[in-house]
Amino acid sequence: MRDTVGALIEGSAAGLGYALLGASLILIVGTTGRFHFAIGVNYLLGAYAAVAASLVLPWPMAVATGVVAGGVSGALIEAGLYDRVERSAPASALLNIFVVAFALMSIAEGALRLLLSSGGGVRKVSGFSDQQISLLGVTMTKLNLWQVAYVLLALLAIQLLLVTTSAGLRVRGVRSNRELAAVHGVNPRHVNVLVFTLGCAAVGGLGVFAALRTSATPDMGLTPAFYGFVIAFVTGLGRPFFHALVPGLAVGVTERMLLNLMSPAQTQVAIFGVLFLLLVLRAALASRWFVAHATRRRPASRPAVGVGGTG
Amino acid sequence: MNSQIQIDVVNACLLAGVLALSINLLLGYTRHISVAHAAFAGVGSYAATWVSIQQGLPFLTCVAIGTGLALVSGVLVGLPSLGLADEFLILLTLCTGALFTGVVTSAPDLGGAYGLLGIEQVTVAGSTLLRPSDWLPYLILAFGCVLAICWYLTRSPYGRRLRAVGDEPTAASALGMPVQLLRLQVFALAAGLAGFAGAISAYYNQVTSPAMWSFNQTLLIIIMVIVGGSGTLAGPCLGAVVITVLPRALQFAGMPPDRAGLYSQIIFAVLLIGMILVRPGGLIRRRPGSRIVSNVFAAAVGLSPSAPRAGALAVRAEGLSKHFGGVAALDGVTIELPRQQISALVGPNGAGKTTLFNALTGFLPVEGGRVFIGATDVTLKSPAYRARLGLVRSFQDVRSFATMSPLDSVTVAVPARRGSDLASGLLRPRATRRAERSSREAARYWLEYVGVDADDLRPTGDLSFAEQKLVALARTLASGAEVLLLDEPLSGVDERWVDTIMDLLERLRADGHTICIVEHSLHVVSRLATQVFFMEAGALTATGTVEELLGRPEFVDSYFGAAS
Repeated sequence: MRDTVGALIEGSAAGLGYALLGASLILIVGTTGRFHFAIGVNYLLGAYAAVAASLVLPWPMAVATGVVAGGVSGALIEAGLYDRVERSAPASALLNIFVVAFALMSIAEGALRLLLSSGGGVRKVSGFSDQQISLLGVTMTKLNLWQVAYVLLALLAIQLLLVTTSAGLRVRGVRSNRELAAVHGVNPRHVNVLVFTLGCAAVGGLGVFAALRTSATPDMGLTPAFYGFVIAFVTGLGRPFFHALVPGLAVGVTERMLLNLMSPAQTQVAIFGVLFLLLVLRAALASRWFVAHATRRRPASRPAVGVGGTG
Repeated sequence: MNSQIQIDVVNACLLAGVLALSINLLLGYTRHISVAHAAFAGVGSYAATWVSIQQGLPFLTCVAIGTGLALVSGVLVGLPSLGLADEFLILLTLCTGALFTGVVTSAPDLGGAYGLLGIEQVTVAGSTLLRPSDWLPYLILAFGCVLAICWYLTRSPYGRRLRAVGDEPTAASALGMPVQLLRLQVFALAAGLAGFAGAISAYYNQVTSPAMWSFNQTLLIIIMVIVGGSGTLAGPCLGAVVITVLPRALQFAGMPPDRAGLYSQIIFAVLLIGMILVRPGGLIRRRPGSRIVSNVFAAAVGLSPSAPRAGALAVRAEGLSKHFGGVAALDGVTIELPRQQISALVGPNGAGKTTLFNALTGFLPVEGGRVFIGATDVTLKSPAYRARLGLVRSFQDVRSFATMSPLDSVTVAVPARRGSDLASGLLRPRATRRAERSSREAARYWLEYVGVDADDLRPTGDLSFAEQKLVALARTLASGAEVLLLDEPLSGVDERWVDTIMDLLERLRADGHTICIVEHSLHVVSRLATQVFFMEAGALTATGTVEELLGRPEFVDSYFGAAS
């Protein structure tokens, strides 16, 4: 029983991390329309920035460095690259941005392997030692506790920023109707940079926690990016970003429970299988046939496949 | 350098060329992206190897099994996602790639991370293919076959439909093209061709492993196409040569293989980004507006175009309802379009006019009510099905097949004939040639009808807005539709074109077409429409001639007051 509770807690901590990945992507993709698969780069850079910072700073400052590195790299990618890619060929922006994001992942991984050639580029964050702590009879690790606190704090900070500030109002305006927001004087490009900074900063911090758990590796960005996208799509890109908590926690807990039954490699396959089925289910629910039949049973709440006009 | 090493590089280029050509069908034509392309190649590779080792089947049988399994995998992955937003396909193929890598890495029967070794050597006419030079003629043959398949798929009337689907899927669907089926066919074919390359690669390299078919490999294949030039046949081949030769060149220059691989990885990614920013079309660009379908598929003798159809197809709707949130966009609308006349749907912005068009043509599912074309209930049918029955619409924002010439834009709309499906160009070549010629003649007829030069080779996207509207009208007419729903056909058109388009609509009416237009201009409505439907807040509140409606003060207040 105690093992199960412990596994649940561990799974929840991991799941909250996945939820934050999904929430960041809901914020970014839902606002900008960019398929930012290079969020894995932000995760990676956050981790390695923390590794470098931990050589001279205490570990909490290394976490902060990772957050800043994630945010700055996200802003630079949007302002310096995606925006230009979109302007160079607007009709194929989605495809091109995805390919560029994939290329960025490849560059980051290759460059880190070249720069840190010893040990395959694997590096640890200095100055942090994990330990078990007991709360109300339940044992958990200090790192898990910090990660849970970080994720909740990050979600709360983003939510407050969106709800209480004028910058948040602009983000909500662009999410709701990009063209209309632009007509009312909001610069969508500035909003894009803002959401990239926020989302990627949150993910950069998560990268630090992954590095604290084991170590930073050049290929550590791919799987989190993938998990984040599936959770974002299963949640729905138009939904409030904190709705990612439910699928994120579900994936985290399922993954941890499966680890009790099978090897890590088999668990990974099983989780990808579950995610694949979730996507197929989501796709089936959005299919023309299903929408046509479901719409006749109950009123839809928004235009699903309509073609716009003024009438 | 050893000549066998040089030939090995050539062979690698040929195999890479097959992979690049196959993904180019998606990237360059239907404009989809598959991130599982290497995984599909891996399915072919592992299947062929496993069957060869376990069952001892001959080379060609194993390759066929690998190709077939990859093709089936393509169908299974493409089926749920190809009708949805591109993001879904990207994600689903990402997931497929991850699943493939996870399964082959963790399955002991498939050799784990080291892969499968021990595939049988290929023997042809008693001699075993051992050296790269032994393989070269057969790899050239395989590459030639794939090139021929891709040429057929892209330069036949079928290929023109793929281009239309890639350019503007909504308009293609409105013209009756089975967009999802076309996408699925091409997706599966691309997966099958990748599996073919994978299976041959397993025999050539005598090994298959997870690392050979990873995400990085998919990225390399995509880079080949984008750097070389998507939407052409020469571009992906050039890209395959560049991407295959560079890492080997670095190794020959004395760099250790692991570092050469990393440098290549970075150089390729930077090259990719640079190409997208500086030369988005790639090194070899598709000539804009150039003829898509080869003359091989067109008979030399011209045929007279079919005469315009002048039927009396009835389109009616009963009690259509649709809500967006709390707003009733359609509130029990019942309408029957007057046959062989021009009717107009008028009302203030937001009244539900375009929504009604969307509901009638199937672009918007309705909550209640029924739509009939003739005696057929089409309420749950797709836009393409309705178009094939004779109900076709135009769009306010034109939705041109922007990269195609006006002639191709209109030819593609001519209802499906021989050659426009996947196989008949091969199975019925003479019928295909005749059909293509007659389609071209029909397209010329309709372009002439609307007053656009059929020999103008500029891409339609480069024409003026009014000319694009005329081309869109010509393609609507070429579809053979009896009933035309035209959404603001005169909006955004300058004064000198307004009379031209109105004259044209009157000619169409005289030819027996049933036309319904959404229009705000009283001048246009009073000249063209014999019956006016007035919509307000999602409901049809008045019907009659313009004169009758003008006699009703509430109509004048709510519409002309609002519209002025």
